[in-house]
Amino acid sequence: MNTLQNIYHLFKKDVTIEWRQKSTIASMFVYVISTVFVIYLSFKGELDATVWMAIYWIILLFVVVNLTISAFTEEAGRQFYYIRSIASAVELIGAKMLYNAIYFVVLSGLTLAILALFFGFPVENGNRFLLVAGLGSIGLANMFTLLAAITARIKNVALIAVLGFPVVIPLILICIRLSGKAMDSFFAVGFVKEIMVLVLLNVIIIAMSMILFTYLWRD
Amino acid sequence: MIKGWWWKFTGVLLLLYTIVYGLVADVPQLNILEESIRNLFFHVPMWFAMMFMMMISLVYSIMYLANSRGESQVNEGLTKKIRLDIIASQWATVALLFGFLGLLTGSVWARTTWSAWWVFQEVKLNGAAAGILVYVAYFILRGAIEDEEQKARVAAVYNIFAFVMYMVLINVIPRIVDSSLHPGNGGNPGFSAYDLDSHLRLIFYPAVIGWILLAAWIVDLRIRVKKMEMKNFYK
Repeated sequence: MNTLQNIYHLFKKDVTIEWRQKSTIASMFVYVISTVFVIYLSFKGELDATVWMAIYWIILLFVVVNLTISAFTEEAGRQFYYIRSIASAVELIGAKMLYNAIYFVVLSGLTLAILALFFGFPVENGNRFLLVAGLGSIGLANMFTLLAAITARIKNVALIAVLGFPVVIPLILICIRLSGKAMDSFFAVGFVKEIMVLVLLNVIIIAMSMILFTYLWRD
Repeated sequence: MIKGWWWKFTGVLLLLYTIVYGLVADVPQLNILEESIRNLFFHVPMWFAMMFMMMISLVYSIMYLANSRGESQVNEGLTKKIRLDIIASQWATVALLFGFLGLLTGSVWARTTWSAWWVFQEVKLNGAAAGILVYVAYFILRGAIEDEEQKARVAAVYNIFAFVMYMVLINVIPRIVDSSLHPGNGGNPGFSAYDLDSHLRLIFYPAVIGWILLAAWIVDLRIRVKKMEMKNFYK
């Protein structure tokens, strides 16, 4: 129970800080909007369904890097000893993953809305697509939270994309495949089975992050 | 590492056997494949050896993280922790080398049988390329950190995480996608279908062991060089 309370308090701290610095929230939103706008101009306003889906996941990849890149800079820097004295490693990574996952699900929903505004929504089974987008976003946010912890520990946050893009490939591939199945009912066979793979991958990412972060967080 | 010279000798002997017998032995004459079937003794063992080395590297990374008293166990001028890290990183280096060799031999084979150096829709090729990227990222990470102890710890964490993700990529995704040009995948018959009298196996299994032993020898030398470098570094 105490662990959950600590996670909640750390989570609340992050939300409060983010809420006070509204410029960072605004910058994330503007980042999403301007990315979609650049794509709109580059593709001259037309995307076919497969490209639409690939673009969606690639935007999410860049947004998640931008979101998580500074997740641990305070904790690994000035507050390192303070945070360590009040919370365990599992509590800290739990709170960060929760925070990033919720934030990123909101951002990916926003990306989806803006993409739909500019290019339309070429999806047959909307509920299934939203399910894939939600689970995929949670997975992306959690995976990049661990990578942000690594890069913050070595004080070289710019490495996150180099470290992250090779290991994110399996997750992205499953997500693109599943959203393709949601997009066209012709390919929908095996959707339920493969969504279980995505859920399992999420569980693996969370478990691995919790275990490995404990070792990362030692002095 | 294993003491003695016998395993090095065995490795050289097996590879001599592989190269000589693999090039002169009778092989099944099949359309398209034809004589290129001999690449089975060179291309496939590269991946076997790479997977084997990645697993050893993973084991040493886990041992590094699990080891809590290694700082005080000094042997040959190096702490046990540093030695575990050297071993993990050197196995990963040679795994990367064999990954490149696997890509190279595979590319040549693909040119003769699929008439393209690289096929973009092939899951196994994408998996191989991603694996190379993962290990390149691992070495970039190591290069980016100055402090030896921190380098070892962070690299071990990344190694374990990357290995698990890589396993998902090459074991789970191909089963879902199930469309591959490789034998034994996507409805293609495996090599066992051509190898009716187990003739190919007679060369293939020694080849796998031989390449792995050669890799182990390279790693052994690299570990010794690295230990000497580190000892001078700490002097």
